Order: sequence, then structure tokens, then C-alpha cells
Amino acid sequence: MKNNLVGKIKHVSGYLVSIIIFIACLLWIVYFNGDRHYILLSMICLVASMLPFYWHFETRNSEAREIVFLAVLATIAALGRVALAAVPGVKPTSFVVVMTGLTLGPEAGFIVGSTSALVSNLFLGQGPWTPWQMFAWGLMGITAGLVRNFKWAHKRKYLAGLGVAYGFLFGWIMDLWYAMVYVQPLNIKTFIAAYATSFYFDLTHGITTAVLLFFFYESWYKIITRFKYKYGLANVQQEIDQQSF
Amino acid sequence: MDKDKKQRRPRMERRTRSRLVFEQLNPWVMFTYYVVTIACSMAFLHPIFLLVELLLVICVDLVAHTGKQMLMVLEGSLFMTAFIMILNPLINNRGAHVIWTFGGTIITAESIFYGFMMALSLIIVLLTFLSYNKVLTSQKFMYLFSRISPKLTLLTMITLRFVPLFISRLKNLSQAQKIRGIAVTKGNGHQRGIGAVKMMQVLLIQSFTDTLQTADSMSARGYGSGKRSSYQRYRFSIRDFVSLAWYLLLTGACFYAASRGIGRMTVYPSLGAIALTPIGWLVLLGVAILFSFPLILEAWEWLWWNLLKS
Repeated sequence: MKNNLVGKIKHVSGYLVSIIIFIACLLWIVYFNGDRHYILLSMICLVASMLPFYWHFETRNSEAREIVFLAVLATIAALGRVALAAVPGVKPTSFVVVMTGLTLGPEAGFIVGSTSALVSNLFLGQGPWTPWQMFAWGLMGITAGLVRNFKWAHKRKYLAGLGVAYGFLFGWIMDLWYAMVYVQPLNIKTFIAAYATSFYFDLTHGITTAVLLFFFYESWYKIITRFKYKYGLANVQQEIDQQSF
Repeated sequence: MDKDKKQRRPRMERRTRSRLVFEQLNPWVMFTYYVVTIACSMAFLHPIFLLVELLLVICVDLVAHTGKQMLMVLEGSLFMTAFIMILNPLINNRGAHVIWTFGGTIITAESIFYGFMMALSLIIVLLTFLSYNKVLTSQKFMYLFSRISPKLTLLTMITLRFVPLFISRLKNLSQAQKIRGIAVTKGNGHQRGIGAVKMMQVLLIQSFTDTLQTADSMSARGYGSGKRSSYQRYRFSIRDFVSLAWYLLLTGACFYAASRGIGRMTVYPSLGAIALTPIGWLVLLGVAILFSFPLILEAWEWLWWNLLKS
């Protein structure tokens, strides 16, 4: 009984820490002119918003099978980016991340998304964009994982629409890192201009993801689900669902 | 036989080539250096500061043998740099010296200058990451985070190893397909795309089947049976401690000066003087020392070696 309670506190404390960080940031903005240092502020918020998920994954007991399973998916996702680095905008990574979220749930989606961003950057070269990519792909995995409980999320038509939306969402998050730091007055005009310049890349990315989801959703869903049962991870899934997500 | 020798030679050279002193430090010290330099390039917005920083970053890149990639990085970031240089004057209408007006948009000398400085700052950050990628190898990167979150580090490490493995598997697969008469690289874009994804699918199935064994052998060797210990390849020596100590002190001093507004040129409402105050020059010296940390170490080693030799 006691062990259970400690375990629960351990899982929840990630959320607590990040909430405390956000409150501290708000106090900083309100009372100490924190909004002047918005580069630092944006980094802190980025880390704080990813923290609970990492925390939950880190403190949870998991078997070797689960880690290796996630590693395979993250590798396939990273491979899509490393192999197609020459073609800008075409990123099969998003497809794999969304598929992971749809089959395995939000946490696995987040972990696979952020890990594949990190690892592909270890091959392609790190930069100031790495944390933003980890965040964007992680978010993609989480939202796909949350959406999977609805019936429409497994129909190809809607999935294709979701793919296009994800392409734009990813591009908009990735525009933030340089628009926010290097363009002086931050107003709606700045962001519209930034989004307009990256429109073509975002569109390519979205359409690629949509086409891949439209044609290959069923076969990949079958494969991943089959191996989920083969690895004996179905129970793990239920446990996580009950805990906090 | 000859071919074999030719392939092996570069590897030998790589092993015997001397490394930088900076590369032999503890990864935490290197990480601090990169965090501080990037923060500096964003905190000190002054043309003299930025030009000195740019010069030093280029020197560090040259010393770290990443000089050849510099042009490539600049070429790749051309789009972003142009975006920053064009968008700043367009968005920002503040400034006293108006150059041109059209349809309500006022282009001022100040905003053009600001855009130029920002582009410079971006280039400094991108060039800094060039030597970062060379110096802070993935192994050192993993070392940094293995204590903080061992599970994620393990996951990243496995993924890192899987990437080259899967690439070689992918090659095998495509060869096998070719012999069967299914050419993936032929046909129009549509067919090639479908072929590539089908290959990925086959790779996914194969890898899932294979890695089940990896996972079981991991648990057979006791993964998850107790608290994980981590092998520490890099020790924190006295040299690391001393260099980190003075480095952090100097960083604190420089950022204190930055918070007082030194080394930050007033751009709006009208351009301030470029000339620096005596304290400004002192801070510039401090920032230059912060940026040239690897160069200083290298020079020190060179001096020491020559003194010992003579």
C-alpha cells in the first residue's frame, strides 16, 4: 500500500515540478521584468513542458523488451530523416511518429518522436533547432496518442487531413526558434511573415505525411500492433493508461 | 589487397592525429563553453563585439579542423539569414533616420542595422555548432546525460547503434529485391516512393523479429534487476576544475556587465555611438577570452612544449 503511494507521488512529481517552474516564470514576468529575457524564458518553458513526460518514462519500471521496441521505432523514424536529408520538407519521420502514437499511445509517441529527433541530429549535426525538433515531434506523438481513442482517427480520410495539419504545426514550431530570437518586435506580422516564408516546406511535409498515412496506415498499424502483442507489451499499455494519461 | 590498404589508411591517420587539448577536457567543461559562447553571442549586441566573436569562432573552427564545412553551413543558412535581414526592416518601423517609404511601410537605417547585427549573431551561433558537433562527440554527449536520466540515455544509445545497423540491413534488402527483379530505384517518383516505404516496412518487420532476441538477452543478463550503475569514462580532474572555476567567474562578471547595459548598442530610437567606453573595452576583452578558451589552451600547450624542448 505504502509502496503504491510512493510510486504515485514519484509519477506525479514531474507534473508538480513543471507547474512550479511555470508559476516561477509567471512571477518572474510579472514582478521582475522577466519578459525582457524571452530567449531564456522560451528555453525554460520548452524544457518544463517536456519534463513531465520524460519524468514519467524515467521513473516507471520497464522491461528491456519495451525499451528495445521503442528504439526500433525511433530508429526507423530517424532513418527516414537521415536517408532523405537531401530533400527538404520530405520527412517520413512524422509518419512513423504518428503511427507510434496511434498504436502505442501518447507516452510511446512522445518518446519515439523526441528520441528520433535527437538521434537524427547526432548524425546530421546538432544546432539550436534540436530542442525545438524534439518538442515538435514529441508533441506530434502525444497528440496522435490522445486522438487514437476516437473512432474517426482510424479512418484514412481524416488521417490524411491530420497529416497535413501536423506538417504545418511542425513547421510553425520550427519557425519559432529563429523568428523569436532574431526579429525584433514580436507581433502577429512577424509570425505571419515567418510562416509565409516556410509555407512551401510545410506544405511538402504535410502532404508527404498525409499521403503516407493514407496509403500505409493499415499495413503499419497491423505490423506494430502485432509486434506489440508479440513483445507482450499490451498489458504495459493498459497500466500506463490507468496511471495518468 | 591494394584496395584494402587504401581503405584502411585514413582510419590510421585519424587515430594518430593529435587531438586538441580542449577535446581532452571533461565533457561538462566543453558543454559549459558552448552554452556560454552561444549566450554571449545573443547577449552582447554590438557590432565590435559581434565581429570579434565571429573572428574567434572562425579561428576555433579552423583549429578544430572544421574549416571546410564553414562555407557549406553559410550556404545552408542563406535563406534564414536573408529572412532576418529583410524582415527586420520591413516589420520594424521605429528609428529616426528614414531611408525609404512605400505604402505605409517605413524603412529606417536603424532597423537595417539591427537586422544586419542579428544575422551576424545567427551566423556566430551556427558556426559555433560546427565545432560543437566535432568536439562533443555522441559518446561525450551521452556521458553528460547518463547520470541524469539513465533510461533515456540507454534508449538513445541503442537507437544510435541501430541507425548504421539498419542502413546496412536496408542495403542487403535492396540487393535481395534487385535479384528477385524488383528494382526500387527505378520508375517514376511515385513508384520509387512506394518502393522505399515498402522496403521500410520489410525492414521494420525484420528488425522487430531480430531485436526480440536482443531484448531477451538483455534481460537474461540482468537488465532491470537492480539500480543501474554507469561506467564513467571521463574523470573530473584538477585541470577541469581549475578551468571551469575561472571560466565561470569570468562568465559571471561579463553577464553582470551585460545586465548593466554594457556591450549592448542602443539602436532605437536612433543609432548610438559605436565607440566603446573603457569598461566596454574591458568587457570585450573578457568576452574574447571566453570565446578563445580552446585557443588559449592550445597556445599554452604549444608554449609549454617548446619551453620543455629547449
